[in-house]
Amino acid sequence: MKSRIRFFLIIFILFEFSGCKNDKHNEYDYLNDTLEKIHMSLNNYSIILVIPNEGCSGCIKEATQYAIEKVDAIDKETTAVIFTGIGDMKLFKLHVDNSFLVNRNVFIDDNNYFMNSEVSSVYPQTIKLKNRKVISKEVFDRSTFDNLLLVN
Amino acid sequence: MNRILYIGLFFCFFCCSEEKKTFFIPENNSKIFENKYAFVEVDSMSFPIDSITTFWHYSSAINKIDSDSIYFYSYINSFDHSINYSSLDKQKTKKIFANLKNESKLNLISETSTHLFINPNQFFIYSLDTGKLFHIDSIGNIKNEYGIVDYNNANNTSLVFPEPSSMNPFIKSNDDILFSCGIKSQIDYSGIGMVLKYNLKNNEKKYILPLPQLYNEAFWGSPFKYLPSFALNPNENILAISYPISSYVYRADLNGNIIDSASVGSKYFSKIEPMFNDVEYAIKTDRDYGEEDIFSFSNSDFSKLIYDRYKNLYYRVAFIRPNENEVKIGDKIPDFSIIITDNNLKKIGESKFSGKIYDVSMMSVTEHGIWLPRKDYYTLDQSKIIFSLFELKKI
Repeated sequence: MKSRIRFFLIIFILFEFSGCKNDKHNEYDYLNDTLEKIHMSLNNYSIILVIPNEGCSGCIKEATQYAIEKVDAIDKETTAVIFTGIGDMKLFKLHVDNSFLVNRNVFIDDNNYFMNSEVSSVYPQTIKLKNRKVISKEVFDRSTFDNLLLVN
Repeated sequence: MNRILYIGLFFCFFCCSEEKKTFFIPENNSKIFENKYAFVEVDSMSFPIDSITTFWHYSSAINKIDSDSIYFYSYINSFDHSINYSSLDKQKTKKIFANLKNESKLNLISETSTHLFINPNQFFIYSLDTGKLFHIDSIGNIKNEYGIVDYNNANNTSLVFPEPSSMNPFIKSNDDILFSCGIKSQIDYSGIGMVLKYNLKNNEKKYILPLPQLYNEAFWGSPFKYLPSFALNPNENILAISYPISSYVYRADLNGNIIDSASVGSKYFSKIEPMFNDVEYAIKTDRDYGEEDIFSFSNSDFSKLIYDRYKNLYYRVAFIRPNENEVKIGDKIPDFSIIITDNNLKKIGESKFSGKIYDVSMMSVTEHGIWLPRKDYYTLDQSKIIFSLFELKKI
């Protein structure tokens, strides 16, 4: 009886551990799939800034302003910007000039794939990729993003 | 071994499956009713909009000036901080730039400002950001300014704050302005009035009509589940009030004394469930707002209440929300129905509408019927907003 209990306990612990590891792995896989759905080239980038249309309005404004300021300075081969959750394109273009939107590394998530709760956030997100695989996702921060741009 | 297994299973079952309270909506006057009327689309009306005007407005309305029998469509354009209006016959939009700036020189006609169109010569504007109400004239001059909420006062311990919008517009009844209020999270909502009555002559404030006891029995989700909608019958000076998670509509006098109530439900959903049975979840510091969103947008509820003064009827909006999986993939937009009752809150009809086509938050009522703006037409042509007119027809 004791050995059976010990056996089930070990199975339980292993199951819990594998669950934890799997969650992150699955989330990043899901992110890769989402990026590919938006545009097949997105997994080629090293850094992606995802900006939602709804959420923390101050954070969204800051991230948008940052992207516009940096658009000419950043490497368009390695860094991309995605806008998601846009309901009214006319409204969106009142706030974000078309001259910025026509850059080849700026994407609109027309089908709102990033609004799926698996990947959505009320905050702008910085996604890092290596060899076409997502390796991290974190809330956008201006100085952290600046450092990433320097490294890349 | 078996004993241990059974004990373990018993504890698992007991601990993991606390049953949620369920509040069933009475079938009478919801599923069972005398179905006499329905809304039928009969006409449409198009309003041209300029390059800086978009579809959705936090504050918009179609109003009739009784003395002239002219209808006006008015809205706040937060992009250029203006009030815009156009009459149905002239179709030309007029803009008013009110001279409203606060100490920081920020324009007080913002994304969360709301307005009340009295006539082309006078408007009221409520600035949610500053808690001030302004009475302005046809060229934007301030005729009067009223302090509704003092956010800067450290002694202000008010738990409720006016939160008007197109969905819950503020209204004027003689010298009173009435606001629907939002509330800070509580564990006891007893006695907290959710409608603010503000007197323009003596500046007296009175909070009337508290949330029903149902709110003390569980936690219901996002703040919009706590926001009431009211409608005024100006002929009888009766306020009718609707709460998102209660099937009951209450009627009261203008002092907040309840006259009667009736369950007025939708035939599209038969129950309302809270998010958690524990009302104290509301004051937890580690609330999961993402989960609250998913729950709130996937559980049907009630919303806007309108009194049709032309037909002496009430219209109650019910949101028929998508399921949890649909919300999780980003599909939050609900369909809605408009429940029709007579003056005694007896249900006489219900019509369903697609939330992807019509925007109920900007719905208006005139003597011809109800006007609903078309999202689908706007997607095709962003130079105009088209309203569909629905007449009430006998079935």
